[in-house]
Amino acid sequence: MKQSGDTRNNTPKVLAIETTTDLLGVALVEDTGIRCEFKVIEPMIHSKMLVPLCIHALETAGWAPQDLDCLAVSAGPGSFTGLRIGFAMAQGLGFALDKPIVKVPTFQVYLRQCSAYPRLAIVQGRARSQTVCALYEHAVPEMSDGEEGFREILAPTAVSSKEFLDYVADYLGDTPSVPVWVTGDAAEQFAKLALEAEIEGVTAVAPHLRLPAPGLLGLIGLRMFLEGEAVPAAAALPDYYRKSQAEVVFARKAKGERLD
Amino acid sequence: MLILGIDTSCDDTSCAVVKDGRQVLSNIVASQTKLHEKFGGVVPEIASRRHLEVLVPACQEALQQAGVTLKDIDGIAVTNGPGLLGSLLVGVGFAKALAYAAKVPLIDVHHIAGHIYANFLGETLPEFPLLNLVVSGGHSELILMESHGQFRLLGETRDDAAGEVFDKVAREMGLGYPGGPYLDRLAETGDPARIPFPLPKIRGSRYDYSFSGIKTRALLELEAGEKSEAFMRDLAAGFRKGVVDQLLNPVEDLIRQTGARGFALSGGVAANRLLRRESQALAQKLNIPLFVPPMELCTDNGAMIASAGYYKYKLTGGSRSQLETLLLECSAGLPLRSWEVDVG
Repeated sequence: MKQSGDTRNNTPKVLAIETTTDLLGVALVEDTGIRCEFKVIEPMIHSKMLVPLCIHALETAGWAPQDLDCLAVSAGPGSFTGLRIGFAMAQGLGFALDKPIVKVPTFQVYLRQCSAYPRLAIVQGRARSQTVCALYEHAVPEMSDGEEGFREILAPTAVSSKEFLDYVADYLGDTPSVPVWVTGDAAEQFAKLALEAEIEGVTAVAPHLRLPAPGLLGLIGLRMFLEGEAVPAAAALPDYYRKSQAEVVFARKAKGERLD
Repeated sequence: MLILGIDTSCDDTSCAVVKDGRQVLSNIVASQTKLHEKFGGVVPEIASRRHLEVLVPACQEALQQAGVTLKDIDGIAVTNGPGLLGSLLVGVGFAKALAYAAKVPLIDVHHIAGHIYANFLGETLPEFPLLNLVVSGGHSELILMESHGQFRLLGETRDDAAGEVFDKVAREMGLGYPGGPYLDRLAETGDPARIPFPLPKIRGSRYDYSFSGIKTRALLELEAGEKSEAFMRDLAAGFRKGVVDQLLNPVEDLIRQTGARGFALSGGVAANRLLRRESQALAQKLNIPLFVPPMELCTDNGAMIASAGYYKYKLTGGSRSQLETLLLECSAGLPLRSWEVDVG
């Protein structure tokens, strides 16, 4: 028997958790849409505030934790520590409540919230040498990869922002009349880098679109849950896209490369 | 009262179920030693990733071995420092979510308090005042407890921890990883008098330690020495004696001064054979009992966290709302404070 005061008890309910950037976000989503969404943009508070924020959201909506059908977690790319905070708490909730987890690719959230742009680059990661980048362009439905209508030019790849800028410059070629819009938590610094390198046609999207929206994360999570993509809590791990620096250095040493 | 204890402060992932702070029903430790071996030390990012991979399975196994389910657990105790920040965050995040979903109290435990409470899991309950020597790869501290949760720091290292210098010197001697136990074994067969390591002179507090000088001295001896088997044995023996002599040097004085009714070793270096023997001799001389946890409770483990969590909850429990406790933060350099009942 459900204990919640909610009368629409039989529709799937999702708690979305977003911790991949400085934005800490929580949302509750059901088939009628986003029920509530809370976000705080502040570095280093995620560990302290995530569980209290989840409680606040559940109490606001009048849902009991048991009412949830699954947890949707932003799966990366993003801050390694941020990812682990989100997943550790999702694993704890999932394990204790016996609910599965859907891993939502973080760049899917960006594609959804920036679906109006014809060409979209995503640059995620605060350190310039540690970014993960991807490039998309709009395509006719039969050529596009998802419901956002984008075709993937470069899948999420661990490259420095400088290397990615070279790639984008090549892609733009002689037709910068259609600009590449940039989102992601490093969008602003990437656009600045392009300006410094005098590469035209690279522009950051509006500030409120540069960090992933927890509500959209929940909507994508709900769809994935209905498509059977949820996994048991213990099996839900982040997609880091990068090895630890120690492993990178170790592999280079093993190959006899000189380190600078 | 059943407490689930969780420790992810360094490179071991551990979950344990302890009854009434005394009886270990299960103590699962997933060691990461092999993952870090080739790097010659713990890599924080690798450690943090591994914690997340094994935490739920470790927790499941701890509950299963104890023959209970999460519904039977009365509280969750978790280490929130000191330690590697990235690693601590995984355990604390997981513990917070568990405590909230299972509707039980969350109890934050200082890692050193955890080590000390490993001695409350034995057959004989220590009496207060209790002088504790906590020695591990990260700590070398003398802490007096007048009663439960009252910690008075009487001495600490000014530089390296004792376990750290054991590991470092062992590594340079080519003894394997982590090197402390290997060095200890090798030292058993050596002559400690051949290469003596005198006590360092430390300005200020007479109960503080300093191990960086003795470490440098050992490394210089190693560089200059002939590297024969006999030399390595004698170097290990001399160095080990130097560290242990220093560790125990203030103890007699402090026990007499404080009227301590027990002396307790804890932390990974409490497994050191010479330290155990010399401590035993000292305790006998002073006619007080010596407490040393069994080997598996010397190194990092969830049972000691659960035990400390139990005593802390008995002393301070219920003084804060659950929401307040769920705002818990981690700190790599968390200071050890006595447990207090929050008023207000």
